[in-house]
Amino acid sequence: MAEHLQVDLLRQRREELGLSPKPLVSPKQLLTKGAAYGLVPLAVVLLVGAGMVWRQQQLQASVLELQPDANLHDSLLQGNIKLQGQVLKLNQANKSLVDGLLAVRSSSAFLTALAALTPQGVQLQTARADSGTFSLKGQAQAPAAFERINILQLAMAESLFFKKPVRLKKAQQEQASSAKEQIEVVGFELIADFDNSKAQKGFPLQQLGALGMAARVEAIKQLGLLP
Amino acid sequence: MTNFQPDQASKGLSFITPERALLLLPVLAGIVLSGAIAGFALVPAVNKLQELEKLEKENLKKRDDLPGLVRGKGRLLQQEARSKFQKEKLLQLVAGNRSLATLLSQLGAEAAKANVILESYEPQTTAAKSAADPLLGDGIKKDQQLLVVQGSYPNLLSFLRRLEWLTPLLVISDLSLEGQKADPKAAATTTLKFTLTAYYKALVQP
Repeated sequence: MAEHLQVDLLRQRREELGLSPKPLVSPKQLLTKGAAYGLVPLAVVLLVGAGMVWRQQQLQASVLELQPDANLHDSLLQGNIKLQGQVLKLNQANKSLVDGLLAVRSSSAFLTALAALTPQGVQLQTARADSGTFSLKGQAQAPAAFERINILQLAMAESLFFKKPVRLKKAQQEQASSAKEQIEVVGFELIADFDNSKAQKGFPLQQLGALGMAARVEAIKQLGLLP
Repeated sequence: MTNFQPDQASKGLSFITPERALLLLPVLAGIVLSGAIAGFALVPAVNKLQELEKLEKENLKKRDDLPGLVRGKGRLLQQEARSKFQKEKLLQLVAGNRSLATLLSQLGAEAAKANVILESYEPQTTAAKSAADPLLGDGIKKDQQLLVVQGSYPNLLSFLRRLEWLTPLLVISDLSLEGQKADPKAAATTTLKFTLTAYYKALVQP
Protein backbone atom coordinates (compact mmCIF):
# COMPACT_ATOMS: atom_id res chain seq x y z
CA MET A 1 0.00 0.00 0.00
CA ALA A 2 1.55 3.28 -1.01
CA GLU A 3 2.01 5.63 1.91
CA HIS A 4 0.90 8.69 -0.03
CA LEU A 5 -2.49 7.09 -0.73
CA GLN A 6 -3.31 6.53 2.87
CA VAL A 7 -6.12 8.69 4.31
CA ASP A 8 -5.27 10.47 7.53
CA LEU A 9 -8.70 11.42 8.93
CA LEU A 10 -7.39 12.74 12.22
CA ARG A 11 -4.78 15.02 10.79
CA GLN A 12 -6.84 18.22 11.23
CA ARG A 13 -7.89 17.32 14.78
CA ARG A 14 -4.27 16.59 15.75
CA GLU A 15 -3.16 19.87 14.37
CA GLU A 16 -5.90 21.64 16.41
CA LEU A 17 -4.70 19.92 19.58
CA GLY A 18 -1.07 20.66 18.74
CA LEU A 19 -0.08 16.99 18.66
CA SER A 20 2.65 15.76 16.42
CA PRO A 21 1.47 13.53 13.61
CA LYS A 22 1.80 9.89 14.37
CA PRO A 23 3.95 8.25 11.74
CA LEU A 24 2.11 5.59 9.90
CA VAL A 25 3.74 2.16 9.61
CA SER A 26 2.72 -0.18 6.85
CA PRO A 27 1.55 -3.77 7.70
CA LYS A 28 4.42 -5.18 5.68
CA GLN A 29 6.87 -3.32 7.84
CA LEU A 30 5.11 -4.51 10.95
CA LEU A 31 5.16 -8.09 9.69
CA THR A 32 8.82 -7.86 8.82
CA LYS A 33 9.60 -6.40 12.22
CA GLY A 34 7.54 -9.08 13.95
CA ALA A 35 9.21 -11.78 11.88
CA ALA A 36 12.59 -10.35 12.82
CA TYR A 37 11.67 -10.45 16.51
CA GLY A 38 10.23 -13.94 16.04
CA LEU A 39 13.46 -15.10 14.50
CA VAL A 40 15.42 -14.11 17.60
CA PRO A 41 14.29 -17.02 19.85
CA LEU A 42 14.53 -19.34 16.86
CA ALA A 43 18.06 -18.17 16.24
CA VAL A 44 18.90 -18.60 19.91
CA VAL A 45 17.54 -22.15 19.88
CA LEU A 46 19.42 -22.98 16.70
CA LEU A 47 22.58 -21.44 18.09
CA VAL A 48 22.26 -23.44 21.29
CA GLY A 49 21.58 -26.54 19.18
CA ALA A 50 24.65 -25.89 17.08
CA GLY A 51 26.68 -25.38 20.23
CA MET A 52 25.41 -28.65 21.58
CA VAL A 53 26.26 -30.49 18.37
CA TRP A 54 29.76 -29.06 18.53
CA ARG A 55 30.10 -30.05 22.20
CA GLN A 56 28.74 -33.51 21.41
CA GLN A 57 31.31 -33.98 18.67
CA GLN A 58 34.04 -32.86 21.03
CA LEU A 59 32.88 -35.25 23.72
CA GLN A 60 32.56 -38.14 21.29
CA ALA A 61 36.10 -37.51 20.06
CA SER A 62 37.35 -37.35 23.64
CA VAL A 63 35.49 -40.54 24.62
CA LEU A 64 36.90 -42.32 21.56
CA GLU A 65 40.39 -41.14 22.38
CA LEU A 66 40.07 -42.32 25.97
CA GLN A 67 38.45 -45.65 25.06
CA PRO A 68 41.69 -47.67 24.72
CA ASP A 69 42.77 -46.52 28.19
CA ALA A 70 39.33 -47.35 29.55
CA ASN A 71 39.47 -50.81 27.97
CA LEU A 72 42.94 -51.36 29.40
CA HIS A 73 41.65 -50.21 32.80
CA ASP A 74 38.75 -52.66 32.64
CA SER A 75 40.91 -55.59 31.60
CA LEU A 76 43.52 -54.75 34.28
CA LEU A 77 40.81 -54.44 36.90
CA GLN A 78 39.31 -57.80 35.91
CA GLY A 79 42.76 -59.36 35.91
CA ASN A 80 43.57 -57.89 39.33
CA ILE A 81 40.29 -59.14 40.80
CA LYS A 82 41.02 -62.63 39.44
CA LEU A 83 44.60 -62.47 40.71
CA GLN A 84 43.42 -61.28 44.11
CA GLY A 85 41.07 -64.26 44.28
CA GLN A 86 43.93 -66.61 43.43
CA VAL A 87 46.19 -65.03 46.08
CA LEU A 88 43.38 -65.26 48.64
CA LYS A 89 42.84 -68.92 47.78
CA LEU A 90 46.57 -69.62 48.04
CA ASN A 91 46.78 -67.83 51.39
CA GLN A 92 43.80 -69.79 52.70
CA ALA A 93 45.40 -73.05 51.58
CA ASN A 94 48.66 -71.99 53.24
CA LYS A 95 46.85 -71.06 56.45
CA SER A 96 45.13 -74.42 56.45
CA LEU A 97 48.49 -76.17 56.01
CA VAL A 98 50.08 -74.07 58.79
CA ASP A 99 47.15 -74.79 61.12
CA GLY A 100 47.44 -78.48 60.25
CA LEU A 101 51.18 -78.51 60.92
CA LEU A 102 50.82 -76.65 64.20
CA ALA A 103 48.01 -78.94 65.28
CA VAL A 104 50.36 -81.91 65.12
CA ARG A 105 51.14 -82.64 68.75
CA SER A 106 54.73 -83.62 69.35
CA SER A 107 54.47 -86.94 71.12
CA SER A 108 58.10 -86.84 72.19
CA ALA A 109 57.60 -83.40 73.75
CA PHE A 110 54.45 -84.65 75.44
CA LEU A 111 56.11 -87.75 76.91
CA THR A 112 59.13 -85.72 78.03
CA ALA A 113 56.84 -83.25 79.77
CA LEU A 114 54.88 -86.10 81.36
CA ALA A 115 58.06 -87.64 82.74
CA ALA A 116 59.12 -84.24 84.10
CA LEU A 117 55.73 -83.74 85.76
CA THR A 118 55.78 -87.11 87.52
CA PRO A 119 56.93 -86.69 91.12
CA GLN A 120 59.31 -89.03 92.99
CA GLY A 121 57.63 -92.18 94.21
CA VAL A 122 55.06 -92.33 91.43
CA GLN A 123 55.32 -95.05 88.83
CA LEU A 124 53.40 -94.70 85.58
CA GLN A 125 52.02 -98.02 84.36
CA THR A 126 49.82 -97.33 81.37
CA ALA A 127 49.06 -94.20 79.43
CA ARG A 128 46.64 -93.82 76.55
CA ALA A 129 46.28 -90.74 74.39
CA ASP A 130 43.92 -90.15 71.52
CA SER A 131 43.16 -86.87 69.78
CA GLY A 132 41.11 -85.50 72.68
CA THR A 133 41.67 -87.44 75.87
CA PHE A 134 44.51 -88.74 77.94
CA SER A 135 44.22 -91.40 80.61
CA LEU A 136 46.99 -92.41 82.94
CA LYS A 137 47.25 -95.31 85.35
CA GLY A 138 49.98 -95.65 87.89
CA GLN A 139 51.02 -96.36 91.44
CA ALA A 140 52.16 -93.97 94.15
CA GLN A 141 54.31 -95.24 96.99
CA ALA A 142 53.49 -94.74 100.64
CA PRO A 143 54.09 -92.70 102.64
CA ALA A 144 52.22 -89.65 101.33
CA ALA A 145 50.93 -91.60 98.33
CA PHE A 146 47.80 -89.49 98.02
CA GLU A 147 49.85 -86.31 98.22
CA ARG A 148 52.05 -87.57 95.37
CA ILE A 149 48.98 -88.31 93.23
CA ASN A 150 47.59 -84.88 94.02
CA ILE A 151 50.90 -83.23 93.06
CA LEU A 152 50.84 -85.06 89.71
CA GLN A 153 47.20 -84.11 89.15
CA LEU A 154 47.88 -80.41 89.82
CA ALA A 155 51.08 -80.42 87.75
CA MET A 156 49.18 -81.92 84.80
CA ALA A 157 46.44 -79.29 85.17
CA GLU A 158 49.07 -76.53 85.04
CA SER A 159 50.74 -78.06 81.99
CA LEU A 160 50.27 -76.50 78.55
CA PHE A 161 49.13 -79.85 77.19
CA PHE A 162 45.93 -80.26 79.23
CA LYS A 163 42.75 -78.42 79.97
CA LYS A 164 41.76 -77.85 83.56
CA PRO A 165 40.61 -79.75 85.50
CA VAL A 166 42.45 -83.07 85.45
CA ARG A 167 40.08 -85.63 86.93
CA LEU A 168 41.05 -88.37 89.34
CA LYS A 169 38.96 -91.37 88.37
CA LYS A 170 40.00 -93.55 91.28
CA ALA A 171 42.71 -94.02 93.87
CA GLN A 172 42.87 -97.15 96.03
CA GLN A 173 45.25 -98.96 98.32
CA GLU A 174 47.05 -101.89 96.71
CA GLN A 175 49.79 -104.29 97.66
CA ALA A 176 52.87 -104.35 95.50
CA SER A 177 55.67 -106.84 95.85
CA SER A 178 59.27 -105.83 95.48
CA ALA A 179 62.30 -108.11 95.60
CA LYS A 180 62.50 -108.26 99.37
CA GLU A 181 59.19 -107.19 100.86
CA GLN A 182 55.58 -106.29 100.35
CA ILE A 183 55.13 -102.52 100.06
CA GLU A 184 51.98 -100.47 100.26
CA VAL A 185 51.07 -98.43 97.21
CA VAL A 186 48.06 -96.50 96.00
CA GLY A 187 46.90 -97.29 92.49
CA PHE A 188 45.33 -94.37 90.65
CA GLU A 189 43.81 -93.38 87.36
CA LEU A 190 43.81 -89.81 86.04
CA ILE A 191 41.81 -88.52 83.09
CA ALA A 192 42.60 -85.29 81.28
CA ASP A 193 41.44 -83.52 78.14
CA PHE A 194 44.06 -82.25 75.72
CA ASP A 195 44.08 -78.52 75.18
CA ASN A 196 44.10 -78.44 71.39
CA SER A 197 43.70 -74.66 71.31
CA LYS A 198 47.36 -74.14 72.21
CA ALA A 199 49.38 -74.40 69.06
CA GLN A 200 52.88 -75.84 68.88
CA LYS A 201 54.33 -72.35 68.72
CA GLY A 202 53.42 -71.92 72.40
CA PHE A 203 55.33 -75.01 73.56
CA PRO A 204 58.99 -74.93 74.52
CA LEU A 205 59.69 -77.65 71.95
CA GLN A 206 63.46 -77.34 72.03
CA GLN A 207 63.57 -77.58 75.82
CA LEU A 208 61.40 -80.69 75.57
CA GLY A 209 63.79 -82.23 73.07
CA ALA A 210 61.33 -82.18 70.17
CA LEU A 211 63.87 -80.73 67.77
CA GLY A 212 62.15 -82.00 64.63
CA MET A 213 58.91 -80.20 65.47
CA ALA A 214 60.84 -77.13 66.64
CA ALA A 215 62.62 -77.02 63.27
CA ARG A 216 59.28 -77.19 61.44
CA VAL A 217 57.80 -74.38 63.53
CA GLU A 218 60.95 -72.32 62.92
CA ALA A 219 60.67 -72.97 59.17
CA ILE A 220 57.06 -71.74 59.25
CA LYS A 221 58.20 -68.61 61.12
CA GLN A 222 60.90 -67.97 58.55
CA LEU A 223 58.29 -68.13 55.80
CA GLY A 224 56.55 -65.24 57.54
CA LEU A 225 53.48 -67.29 58.32
CA LEU A 226 53.81 -66.99 62.09
CA PRO A 227 54.33 -63.81 64.10
CA MET B 1 -21.14 10.93 20.29
CA THR B 2 -19.16 10.60 17.10
CA ASN B 3 -17.40 7.71 15.46
CA PHE B 4 -14.14 9.23 16.56
CA GLN B 5 -14.87 9.12 20.27
CA PRO B 6 -13.37 6.11 22.02
CA ASP B 7 -15.72 3.22 22.75
CA GLN B 8 -15.76 2.52 26.50
CA ALA B 9 -16.82 -1.14 26.07
CA SER B 10 -13.90 -2.05 23.91
CA LYS B 11 -11.39 -0.34 26.20
CA GLY B 12 -10.20 -3.70 27.66
CA LEU B 13 -9.13 -4.98 24.28
CA SER B 14 -7.53 -1.70 23.29
CA PHE B 15 -4.08 -3.27 23.73
CA ILE B 16 -4.68 -5.61 20.81
CA THR B 17 -4.63 -3.34 17.86
CA PRO B 18 -4.18 -4.58 14.30
CA GLU B 19 -0.72 -3.05 14.23
CA ARG B 20 0.30 -4.83 17.37
CA ALA B 21 -1.23 -8.06 16.16
CA LEU B 22 0.81 -7.79 12.97
CA LEU B 23 3.91 -7.31 15.06
CA LEU B 24 3.26 -9.90 17.74
CA LEU B 25 1.95 -12.78 15.67
CA PRO B 26 5.29 -13.54 13.95
CA VAL B 27 7.03 -13.12 17.32
CA LEU B 28 4.63 -15.60 18.91
CA ALA B 29 5.08 -17.95 15.94
CA GLY B 30 8.85 -17.70 16.39
CA ILE B 31 8.59 -18.43 20.11
CA VAL B 32 6.27 -21.42 19.55
CA LEU B 33 8.51 -22.80 16.82
CA SER B 34 11.57 -22.33 18.99
CA GLY B 35 9.83 -24.08 21.87
CA ALA B 36 8.88 -26.97 19.60
CA ILE B 37 12.41 -27.31 18.29
CA ALA B 38 13.81 -27.09 21.82
CA GLY B 39 11.34 -29.71 23.04
CA PHE B 40 11.83 -32.20 20.24
CA ALA B 41 15.48 -31.77 19.42
CA LEU B 42 17.34 -30.03 22.23
CA VAL B 43 16.03 -32.01 25.19
CA PRO B 44 17.17 -35.41 23.79
CA ALA B 45 20.41 -33.76 22.75
CA VAL B 46 20.91 -32.49 26.31
CA ASN B 47 20.36 -36.02 27.62
CA LYS B 48 22.83 -37.39 25.11
CA LEU B 49 25.34 -34.72 26.12
CA GLN B 50 24.92 -35.58 29.77
CA GLU B 51 25.54 -39.27 28.98
CA LEU B 52 28.63 -38.41 26.98
CA GLU B 53 29.92 -36.13 29.72
CA LYS B 54 29.40 -38.88 32.25
CA LEU B 55 31.18 -41.37 29.99
CA GLU B 56 34.05 -38.95 29.44
CA LYS B 57 34.33 -38.36 33.18
CA GLU B 58 34.39 -42.13 33.79
CA ASN B 59 37.00 -42.66 31.09
CA LEU B 60 39.13 -39.83 32.46
CA LYS B 61 38.94 -41.37 35.92
CA LYS B 62 39.86 -44.77 34.45
CA ARG B 63 42.85 -43.22 32.68
CA ASP B 64 43.93 -41.56 35.94
CA ASP B 65 43.52 -44.87 37.81
CA LEU B 66 45.66 -46.81 35.33
CA PRO B 67 49.04 -46.25 37.05
CA GLY B 68 47.55 -47.39 40.35
CA LEU B 69 46.12 -50.50 38.73
CA VAL B 70 49.45 -51.34 37.10
CA ARG B 71 51.19 -50.93 40.48
CA GLY B 72 48.44 -53.03 42.08
CA LYS B 73 48.95 -55.78 39.51
CA GLY B 74 52.68 -55.75 40.27
CA ARG B 75 51.99 -56.05 43.99
CA LEU B 76 49.50 -58.87 43.43
CA LEU B 77 51.95 -60.75 41.21
CA GLN B 78 54.57 -60.42 43.95
CA GLN B 79 52.07 -61.62 46.56
CA GLU B 80 51.10 -64.53 44.31
CA ALA B 81 54.72 -65.52 43.81
CA ARG B 82 55.38 -65.27 47.56
CA SER B 83 52.27 -67.30 48.42
CA LYS B 84 53.23 -69.95 45.84
CA PHE B 85 56.72 -70.11 47.30
CA GLN B 86 55.27 -70.43 50.82
CA LYS B 87 52.91 -73.16 49.67
CA GLU B 88 55.74 -75.05 48.00
CA LYS B 89 57.81 -74.86 51.19
CA LEU B 90 54.87 -75.90 53.36
CA LEU B 91 54.15 -78.88 51.12
CA GLN B 92 57.83 -79.69 51.38
CA LEU B 93 57.51 -79.65 55.17
CA VAL B 94 54.50 -81.96 55.00
CA ALA B 95 55.38 -84.38 52.26
CA GLY B 96 59.00 -83.75 51.33
CA ASN B 97 60.42 -85.32 48.22
CA ARG B 98 61.07 -88.78 49.51
CA SER B 99 58.97 -91.77 48.70
CA LEU B 100 57.31 -93.92 51.33
CA ALA B 101 58.61 -97.06 49.62
CA THR B 102 61.53 -97.23 52.01
CA LEU B 103 59.63 -96.13 55.12
CA LEU B 104 59.79 -99.56 56.74
CA SER B 105 63.55 -99.83 56.40
CA GLN B 106 63.89 -96.25 57.62
CA LEU B 107 61.85 -97.11 60.73
CA GLY B 108 63.97 -100.21 61.29
CA ALA B 109 67.15 -98.16 61.06
CA GLU B 110 65.87 -95.50 63.46
CA ALA B 111 64.71 -98.17 65.91
CA ALA B 112 68.17 -99.72 65.85
CA LYS B 113 69.81 -96.33 66.43
CA ALA B 114 67.49 -95.62 69.37
CA ASN B 115 68.04 -99.11 70.75
CA VAL B 116 64.37 -100.12 70.74
CA ILE B 117 62.69 -103.17 69.26
CA LEU B 118 60.23 -102.60 66.44
CA GLU B 119 57.78 -105.37 67.27
CA SER B 120 55.10 -104.87 64.66
CA TYR B 121 54.23 -102.71 61.68
CA GLU B 122 50.67 -102.93 60.41
CA PRO B 123 49.38 -100.71 57.57
CA GLN B 124 45.90 -99.29 58.15
CA THR B 125 43.17 -98.14 55.82
CA THR B 126 42.89 -94.33 55.90
CA ALA B 127 39.94 -93.50 53.65
CA ALA B 128 37.49 -92.80 56.47
CA LYS B 129 39.64 -90.16 58.19
CA SER B 130 41.02 -88.43 55.10
CA ALA B 131 38.28 -85.84 54.64
CA ALA B 132 38.93 -83.88 57.84
CA ASP B 133 42.72 -83.72 57.61
CA PRO B 134 43.91 -80.17 56.80
CA LEU B 135 47.30 -81.46 55.63
CA LEU B 136 45.72 -83.33 52.74
CA GLY B 137 44.94 -81.79 49.38
CA ASP B 138 46.99 -80.53 46.44
CA GLY B 139 48.27 -83.97 45.65
CA ILE B 140 49.17 -84.90 49.24
CA LYS B 141 48.11 -88.32 50.45
CA LYS B 142 48.73 -90.21 53.63
CA ASP B 143 49.40 -93.73 54.81
CA GLN B 144 48.77 -94.94 58.31
CA GLN B 145 50.54 -97.72 60.16
CA LEU B 146 49.99 -99.22 63.56
CA LEU B 147 53.37 -99.65 65.26
CA VAL B 148 54.36 -101.50 68.38
CA VAL B 149 57.79 -100.70 69.79
CA GLN B 150 59.47 -101.93 72.93
CA GLY B 151 62.31 -100.42 74.91
CA SER B 152 63.21 -98.32 77.88
CA TYR B 153 61.31 -95.06 78.36
CA PRO B 154 64.33 -92.87 77.44
CA ASN B 155 65.04 -94.98 74.34
CA LEU B 156 61.42 -94.82 73.26
CA LEU B 157 61.57 -91.05 73.65
CA SER B 158 64.71 -90.98 71.53
CA PHE B 159 62.96 -93.11 68.88
CA LEU B 160 59.98 -90.73 68.77
CA ARG B 161 62.32 -87.74 68.48
CA ARG B 162 64.10 -89.38 65.57
CA LEU B 163 60.78 -90.04 63.83
CA GLU B 164 59.84 -86.38 64.24
CA TRP B 165 63.04 -85.36 62.49
CA LEU B 166 62.31 -87.41 59.40
CA THR B 167 60.79 -86.16 56.20
CA PRO B 168 58.15 -86.68 55.01
CA LEU B 169 56.22 -85.61 58.08
CA LEU B 170 55.43 -88.53 60.39
CA VAL B 171 52.59 -87.83 62.79
CA ILE B 172 52.31 -89.94 65.90
CA SER B 173 48.85 -90.28 67.36
CA ASP B 174 46.65 -92.54 69.47
CA LEU B 175 49.61 -93.63 71.51
CA SER B 176 49.46 -96.03 74.36
CA LEU B 177 52.27 -96.82 76.78
CA GLU B 178 52.39 -99.82 78.98
CA GLY B 179 55.12 -100.48 81.53
CA GLN B 180 56.14 -104.12 82.00
CA LYS B 181 55.89 -105.76 85.39
CA ALA B 182 59.02 -104.86 87.22
CA ASP B 183 61.64 -107.54 86.96
CA PRO B 184 64.35 -106.76 89.48
CA LYS B 185 67.04 -108.41 87.39
CA ALA B 186 66.21 -106.70 84.08
CA ALA B 187 65.92 -103.06 83.08
CA ALA B 188 62.33 -101.78 83.03
CA THR B 189 60.85 -101.95 79.55
CA THR B 190 57.87 -100.17 78.15
CA THR B 191 55.68 -101.11 75.23
CA LEU B 192 54.62 -98.23 73.05
CA LYS B 193 51.78 -98.61 70.57
CA PHE B 194 50.89 -95.77 68.26
CA THR B 195 49.48 -94.85 64.89
CA LEU B 196 52.06 -93.44 62.53
CA THR B 197 50.72 -91.25 59.75
CA ALA B 198 53.07 -90.54 56.86
CA TYR B 199 52.29 -87.90 54.23
CA TYR B 200 53.55 -88.13 50.68
CA LYS B 201 53.09 -86.55 47.27
CA ALA B 202 50.87 -88.60 45.01
CA LEU B 203 52.30 -89.21 41.56
CA VAL B 204 50.56 -87.13 38.90
CA GLN B 205 49.12 -89.28 36.16
CA PRO B 206 50.36 -88.13 32.72
